[in-house]
Amino acid sequence: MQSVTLRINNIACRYDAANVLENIDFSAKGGDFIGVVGPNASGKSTLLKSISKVLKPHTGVVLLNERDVHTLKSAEIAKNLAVVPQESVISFAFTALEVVLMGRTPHLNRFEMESTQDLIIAQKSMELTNTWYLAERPIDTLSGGEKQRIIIARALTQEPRVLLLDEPTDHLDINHQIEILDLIKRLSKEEEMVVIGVFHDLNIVSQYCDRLILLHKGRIFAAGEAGDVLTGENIEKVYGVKVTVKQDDISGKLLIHPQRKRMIKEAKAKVHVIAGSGSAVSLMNELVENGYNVSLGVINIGDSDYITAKALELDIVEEKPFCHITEKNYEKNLELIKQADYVILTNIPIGFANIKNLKAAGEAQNLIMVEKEPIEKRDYTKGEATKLYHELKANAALVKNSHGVLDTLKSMESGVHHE
Amino acid sequence: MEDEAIKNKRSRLLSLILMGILMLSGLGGLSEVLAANEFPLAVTDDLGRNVTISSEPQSIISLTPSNTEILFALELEDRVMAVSEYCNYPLEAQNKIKIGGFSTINIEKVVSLKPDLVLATGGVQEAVVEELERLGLTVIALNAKSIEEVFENIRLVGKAAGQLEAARELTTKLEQRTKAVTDKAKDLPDSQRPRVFYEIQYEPLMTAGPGTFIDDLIHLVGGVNIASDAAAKYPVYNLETLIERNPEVIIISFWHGSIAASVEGVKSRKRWQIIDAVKNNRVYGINADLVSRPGPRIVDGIEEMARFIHPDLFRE
Amino acid sequence: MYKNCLKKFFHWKLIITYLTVILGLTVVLTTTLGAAHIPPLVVLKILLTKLPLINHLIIPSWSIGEATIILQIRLPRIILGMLVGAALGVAGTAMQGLFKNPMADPYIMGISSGAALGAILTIVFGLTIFGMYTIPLMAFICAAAAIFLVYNIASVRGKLPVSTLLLAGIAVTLFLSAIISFLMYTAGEQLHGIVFWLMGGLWGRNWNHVMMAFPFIFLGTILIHIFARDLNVMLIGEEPAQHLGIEVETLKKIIILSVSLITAAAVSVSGIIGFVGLVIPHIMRILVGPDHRVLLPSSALVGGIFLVWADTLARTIVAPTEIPVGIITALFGAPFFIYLLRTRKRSMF
Repeated sequence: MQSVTLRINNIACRYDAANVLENIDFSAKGGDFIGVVGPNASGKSTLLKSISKVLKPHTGVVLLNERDVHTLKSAEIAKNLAVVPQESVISFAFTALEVVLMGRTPHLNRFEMESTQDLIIAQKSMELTNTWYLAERPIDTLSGGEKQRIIIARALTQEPRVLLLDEPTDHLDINHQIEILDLIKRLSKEEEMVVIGVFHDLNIVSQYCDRLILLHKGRIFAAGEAGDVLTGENIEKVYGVKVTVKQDDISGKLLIHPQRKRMIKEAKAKVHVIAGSGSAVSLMNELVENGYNVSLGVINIGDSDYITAKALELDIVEEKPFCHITEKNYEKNLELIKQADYVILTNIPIGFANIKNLKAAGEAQNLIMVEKEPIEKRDYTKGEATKLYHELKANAALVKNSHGVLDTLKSMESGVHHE
Repeated sequence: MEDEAIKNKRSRLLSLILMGILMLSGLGGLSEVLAANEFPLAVTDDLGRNVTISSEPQSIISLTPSNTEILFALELEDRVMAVSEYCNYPLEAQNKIKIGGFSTINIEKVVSLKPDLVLATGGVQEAVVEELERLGLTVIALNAKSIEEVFENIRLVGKAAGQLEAARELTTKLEQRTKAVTDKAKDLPDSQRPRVFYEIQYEPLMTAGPGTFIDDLIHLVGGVNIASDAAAKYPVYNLETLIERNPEVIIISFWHGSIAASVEGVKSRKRWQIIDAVKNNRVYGINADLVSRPGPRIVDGIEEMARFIHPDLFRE
Repeated sequence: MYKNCLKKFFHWKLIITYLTVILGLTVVLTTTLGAAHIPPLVVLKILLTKLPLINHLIIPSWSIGEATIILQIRLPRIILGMLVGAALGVAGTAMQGLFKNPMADPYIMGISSGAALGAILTIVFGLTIFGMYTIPLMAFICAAAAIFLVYNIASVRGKLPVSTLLLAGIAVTLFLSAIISFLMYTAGEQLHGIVFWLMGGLWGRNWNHVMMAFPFIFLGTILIHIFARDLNVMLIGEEPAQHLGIEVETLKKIIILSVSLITAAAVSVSGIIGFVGLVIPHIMRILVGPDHRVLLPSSALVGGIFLVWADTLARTIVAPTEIPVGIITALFGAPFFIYLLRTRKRSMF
């Protein structure tokens, strides 16, 4: 099958006098899954409309298989291009199957009735979107998510070469979101379709799309692979918000989180955290959010807690990866601990590499210990850690998990807790 | 000699008695005339209202064409101050001041003219009557439903205007003319009564049903109204029934254009060709005012209808 | 309920056949009913004389009057009732689909007020250019002028936004109604005729009326049926329909043209008969579903059946007095519609 091509040649669109899109230029061929992102009113939906012939660009052309879209009849386009809109309001009692079958309209002659072949195609689409069981249900009784999947099925029933989706996973539960996106990704490869999807969830696009186009005020701000487009810098410039861009531990895909901001203005107590292996990631975020002055040590570079603390711009006593805590770092850590109002020790395994952290904890004015598992299970120092631990425990507040830490902190601050 | 004296006495007595009777009747008539022309007087109008007329009215306003015709027939035209827009008979009436239509009387205008007496009717004018009464005017409402009531109303107007004698004269003549027709016609058996259809308007076909003047008139002059069993006074009439009942005489009222044109129009209706009246050329047109206005000209209507329906009994 | 039964046990073709048979029976049956007292058997014989092959076998045993009544008065009226009822049913269905609005009926684009103005002008000024057919022809011309006006008001750069069309129709209707009210106020003795025309009715209609209305109603109906599937797709939205290949603007123009032809023709020969164009589509949608390929012909057939029966009642219930047919349609149709609404579990729109 000859591959389909879609070229958007330097188009510009306007509503009345204002330019909504300018200098939009890119191309796609069968197998491409392109994600279009950008803040509201950046022109994402307008872009889709100009590709599907609803809007006519006042300069430039959209070429579908090298033919100007505006010279083609709607039916001709519909045989090759399908659109899944953002919202569908259907208030008539057509059954879901009837709605999906409407996808065959461009392929049928005026007086032709739907044939068994058409029914088979519709059934296949519905099975792919896991909606075949809804076939006989009237469409106005379905939930938003179910309707959305039906609409997607309808688009697939057109047997398109190009698929345009406007925020297709909006109303879907997470399981359906994954299902649909997996499906679309697979179809784009297997059927060599061009898929262009508008998304507002940045994490989704980086996981599924081959290429991204970041729109800003009607222009292409950045285009290319996810890693190049979705940088903290770009996102801050376009969306105006600070984010952390990480690579997911398991899938290697990008994870984008907005940075936590200080929620409470007045500076609160100093809290030093002794942690490791990612045990204090959410704890540190919570503490920062609640206005505490947080520090971390001693932590190995590359550890997840280290990365989090770096992102939160905390005071860190860092140690080279896989190394034992040096004397110098031990002293530094001690300094911070003595200065801190509160010290928190998380549920970490203790080995010879970090036993010095346990020693340092003894100098804390107020110690809170998180104990999920008994120390005996976490002791890799043949008993030395356990001894130190129990000594610390005598004078410390104990919580079962990191979430209890904040409450304990608060009650300690208000002086309710006694030694 | 004795016989002559007795005869003289008898004849003298007779003459005395005769004179006495004459005098009495004359006196009686005179007294009635005297009494009738005695104001203030009280009358009861057709709406059941008791109206007191304090003095002989000199300025009268008529709100309906029929009342206007009565006033003019009683030779009271000089006292008629204003009439309605529809008062078109006699021609002189059209020169009078106008105070509105039939259902759109201009109350302000009426009051501003300060009439001594206002003649109105019931139905749509009932509200006007009440309002004028509330504003202090003397109003009489007339609503005749039969020929007799028309004559009574003429006499009532005469009494109210201080012209009872003239009114009586008029009604006597009218009654005589009517009688001339009804004597010949009223006892005719059904077999001798032609079937009559009266067309008030076409598209849709409307006729006069029971309880209307026209229905009464048709019967009075010796015909039978095929629509006298209809369910309404002015029903839209089913074409099928018209053909089924096959009238021998069709009378139409014409609004504008010539009678001749209207009659021709009826005779040229394709589906009406099989009706006896059309086949035998017995389609006539009549001025609707003659059969619908409860005034003196109703008798003209009677006579004309009689000629249409029974040319054998009544001639020009 | 009904819908499930129908859909389960009947195919579309069966529904249409079933309804057509009922329509045929209605026509035959109502021909035997009327103000004139003609025995049904005689009526049937009279009808049979019109069939080409059998007519030689019938021996006439009736009067010319009876034949005239059946063939020249009753039958054309029934056939016209069937045509007008079907026209209003189809037009109403198309309007509700086009506007996606349950309140839409054939009259909302100003066609009825235009036709009314034409008829009333004819009555008030006593125009007789076309003889007895002046009223229908003037009504048709003025109806066409009204819809032309509405169309031009609502057209924006070659497009026809549906909401603007609705508002333009309302505006033109209001304006023309004001003129009509004024004419009625000053009408005097012609008021009766005007009121009767406005109330709608089939009194006195003959075969010429049938021949005048038939071509427009037939043409318009065929045209709409050709685009029945397109109308289905339009229901899911104009933009999605475009994406599925429907030329939306062209379709709108075709639908409006067809509805105008049908409605103008119907109103010019029968006055303004209400209820049929508004409620019959709703009833049929409840019974056969929203697919226009079966809804349109069903509405046409049931519209015809309904109006013929309503007119039969109108001309026999207090014969020989006639009741305006619009009263009958509303009086009997509304309770049935209310019943259907109450027994359905969900709303229809």
